Amino acid sequence: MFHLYIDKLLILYIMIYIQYILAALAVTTVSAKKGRQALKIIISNQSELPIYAQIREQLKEQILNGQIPEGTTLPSIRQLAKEVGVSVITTTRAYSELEAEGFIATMQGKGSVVLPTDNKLLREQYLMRIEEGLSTAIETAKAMGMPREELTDIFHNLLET
Amino acid sequence: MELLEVKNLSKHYKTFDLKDISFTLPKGYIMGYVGPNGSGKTTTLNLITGVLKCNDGKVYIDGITCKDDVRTYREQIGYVGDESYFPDNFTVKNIRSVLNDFYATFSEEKFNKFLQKWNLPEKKQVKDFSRGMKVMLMFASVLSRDTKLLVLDEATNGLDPVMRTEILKLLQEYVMDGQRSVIFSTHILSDLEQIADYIYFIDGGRTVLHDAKDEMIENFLLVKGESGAIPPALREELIGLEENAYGFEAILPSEKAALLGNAFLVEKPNIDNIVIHFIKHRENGNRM
Repeated sequence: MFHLYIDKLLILYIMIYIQYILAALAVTTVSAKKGRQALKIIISNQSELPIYAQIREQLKEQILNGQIPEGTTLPSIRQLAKEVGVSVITTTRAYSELEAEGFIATMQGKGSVVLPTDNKLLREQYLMRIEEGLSTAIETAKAMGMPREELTDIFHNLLET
Repeated sequence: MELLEVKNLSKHYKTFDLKDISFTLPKGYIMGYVGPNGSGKTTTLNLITGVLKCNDGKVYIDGITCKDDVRTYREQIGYVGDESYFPDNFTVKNIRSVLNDFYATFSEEKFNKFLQKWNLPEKKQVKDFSRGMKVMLMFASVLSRDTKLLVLDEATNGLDPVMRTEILKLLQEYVMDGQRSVIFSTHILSDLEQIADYIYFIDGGRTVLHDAKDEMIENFLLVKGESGAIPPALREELIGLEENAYGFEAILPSEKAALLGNAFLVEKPNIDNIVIHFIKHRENGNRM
């Protein structure tokens, strides 16, 4: 009897969890296949990030973790815009920023190719993210007037868990 | 390369003036022409297609004006309006033969493919078509010609979401080769917003905003909060302040974000938010 109860609870929990994930991804999914690689771009309308930045960040992520290997030719700006259902200006901006940051190179007639990334760059990217996260925490603490010691206590406690 | 160039377009009516509309639309891009009912959207589009004659200004499509060569000018344009322009008692068969006679570049083969794809009946009269079928028939007739500019006047009004999505894809395919462009008017952007590269916003026949869509969205913030909490310096900068018993909503130029502090909820606006608050701003008695 008790086991049955636990099972039901577990199933309910899993169902709620799935629904939660689905709701969180109230989004359009596109995986544009190009050659043997499949790149993934998921645009969220709820996100505070502009769409070009969402595309830029997701491509960057996949380049950094190797899902899109160096030398891969990305879909053309217009192809990507059509697949994802966003404007050409939006995808153009995503690509040109990736180019400015040294992730891809665009060659006339050949399209945009993924450049090699080194680990230093990867480390820098993660470092930036850590700093961003911590800054948010610090700002929030300041906003509510939390003393410095209490904040560092929280930080240390979280490290232990 | 510009596909469409509109220069200081003006049209005077007894009760309405369209004044000084100017923009360019490069090849391969999509522009949303937005504004409330009666703001001059249809007038502008009719001036572009050459149905109306302007009092002042010029329109170039791929470098030529209507005066230069009426035939070429008109052949370049595909127009879909919010009402069917086919005679009620026509069947698809009648329409096909008329298009064949009228347009040098009409392809029967392409036309038939669209008919098949969208299940448009050959023998039914247009008056017995549903709203969606009429719109798709207009798109079929326009897309089976060799055009450079699609002019859509509220073409997706009253269509269900599935058809709207289908049309979005069609428009993106149309501009895919980077040689052709689309201008569409609408009073509600919703899903069309995503594919628009440029937005031209008019109200009362005057230009309010004109920019690349991404820029326009970045230039403003949507601000919500308690009315009592708005400091006077901020109140002056808010555009289209809308207050109710429990709070307010307005937009704010992004460069004034420093005035906000952290007492308010700040969101990324969509184009509809911007349009609505600018119109509200005018209604609140402000000049634009």
